[in-house]
Amino acid sequence: MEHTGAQHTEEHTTTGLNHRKMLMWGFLGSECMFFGSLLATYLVYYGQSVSGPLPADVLDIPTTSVSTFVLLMSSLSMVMAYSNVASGNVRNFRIWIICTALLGATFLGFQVYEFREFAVHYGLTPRTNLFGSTFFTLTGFHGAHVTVGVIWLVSLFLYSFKGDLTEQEGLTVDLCALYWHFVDIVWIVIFTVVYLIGVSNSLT
Amino acid sequence: MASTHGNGEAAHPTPRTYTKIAALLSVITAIEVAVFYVESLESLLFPILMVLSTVKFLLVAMFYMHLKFDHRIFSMFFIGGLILAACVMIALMVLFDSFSGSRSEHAANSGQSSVHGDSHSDDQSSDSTDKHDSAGDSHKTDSAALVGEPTMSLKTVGDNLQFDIDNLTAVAGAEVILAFDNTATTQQHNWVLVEGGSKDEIASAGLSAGPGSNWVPEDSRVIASTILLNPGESGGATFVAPVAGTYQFVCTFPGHSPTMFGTFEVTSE
Repeated sequence: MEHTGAQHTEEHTTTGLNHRKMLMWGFLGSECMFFGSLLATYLVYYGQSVSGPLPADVLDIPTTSVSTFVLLMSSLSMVMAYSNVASGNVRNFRIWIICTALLGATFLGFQVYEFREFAVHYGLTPRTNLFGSTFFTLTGFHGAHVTVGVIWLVSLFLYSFKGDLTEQEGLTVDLCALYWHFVDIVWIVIFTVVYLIGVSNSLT
Repeated sequence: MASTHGNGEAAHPTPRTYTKIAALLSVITAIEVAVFYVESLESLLFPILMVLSTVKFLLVAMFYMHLKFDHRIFSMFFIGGLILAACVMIALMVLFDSFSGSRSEHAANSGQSSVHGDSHSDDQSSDSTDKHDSAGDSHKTDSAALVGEPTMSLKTVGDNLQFDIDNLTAVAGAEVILAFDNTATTQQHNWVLVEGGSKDEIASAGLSAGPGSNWVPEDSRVIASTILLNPGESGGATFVAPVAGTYQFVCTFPGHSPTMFGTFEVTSE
């Protein structure tokens, strides 16, 4: 009986679709609004800081391009992990999932370095000016999402050693993958709007 | 690939497809960064980057998040969220006036919209001329009360951090007598005329100048200014309009410059 909630190809729900997956998409939809409002707040206060440092003074495009690339690649290793679990290759799944977690952790490392650099070298903290407040809130929440994702990935990696991760369990991995790709998508937007467009000043 | 599983879901792409998409995403990211560094594309930067990042967004959502192969209802959840997010963003930006260049515009609309524009043809501004006979002074000019009838006047919009007018006009070389009425009940304000585009820098520099200098820095870009007026106080500045061009006026009291500013046009004729 305890396996009633596990995956079956035919779902006994009104839509015939899996509830967990439905819930995940509902959650991601609400996350769009969450990040949308944080981004809008950033944009509303863009160029309104009374004192510096300003985006163009502190944002480092070359370094962030590298960390953006790292996060993109983690999305690739995530789909690889997923396609391996779907074809029952648990060994390869483990390699790819831990790869994804490491790439995610690398991205976080870049972010920690960036935040530290801002605070120590430029004196930019959330309290410094409007740019600091809105920038750290937006990218900080994204970083928190990545952190949750990394924990989730490592959990799946460990879970696979219990021997429970069968092909049927593809959905368990899929839910994590959806979350992970969403976090990647959010970064695609942040990198373009806050970093590239923001620094180039084409918003003003 | 085309065979359908249960759960309303078609088969997923192969690892090969995934790798191709990753390569495509990397190339697009590289192009984005390259475009950022190409100076000749500066004017097109915004549209190019928006298109490219939308493409990336769609690639990840459609293939990596396999919305393309999933039941439509999942896409609807996501698109629904995105539409709501867009509404939230637009609402926020409209609320904070981000789409119009000047934040003090609605002040002019809600307040003395009749004074909007050329203050030389100046019977509209007479309502505040009588308020400043105990007037303050300009730190650049004499410290006496304003001499003569003001050629233009403005005031604050109550306790809002706004001037009631966002656009003043003068003729180059003409003497300007500006009357400024601080109608606020709690805030100190000043009125500083600066070179176009420099209002935030001047306000930043004013921070280090401190209250003893009326928050006005020693800076060649400052053309004229009033003293810092206490709540309810009236003052003004007398100065000669500079060469034709677009200037800005701003309150340099800390934190006021983002919303409390306007454009000062000097025409040659």
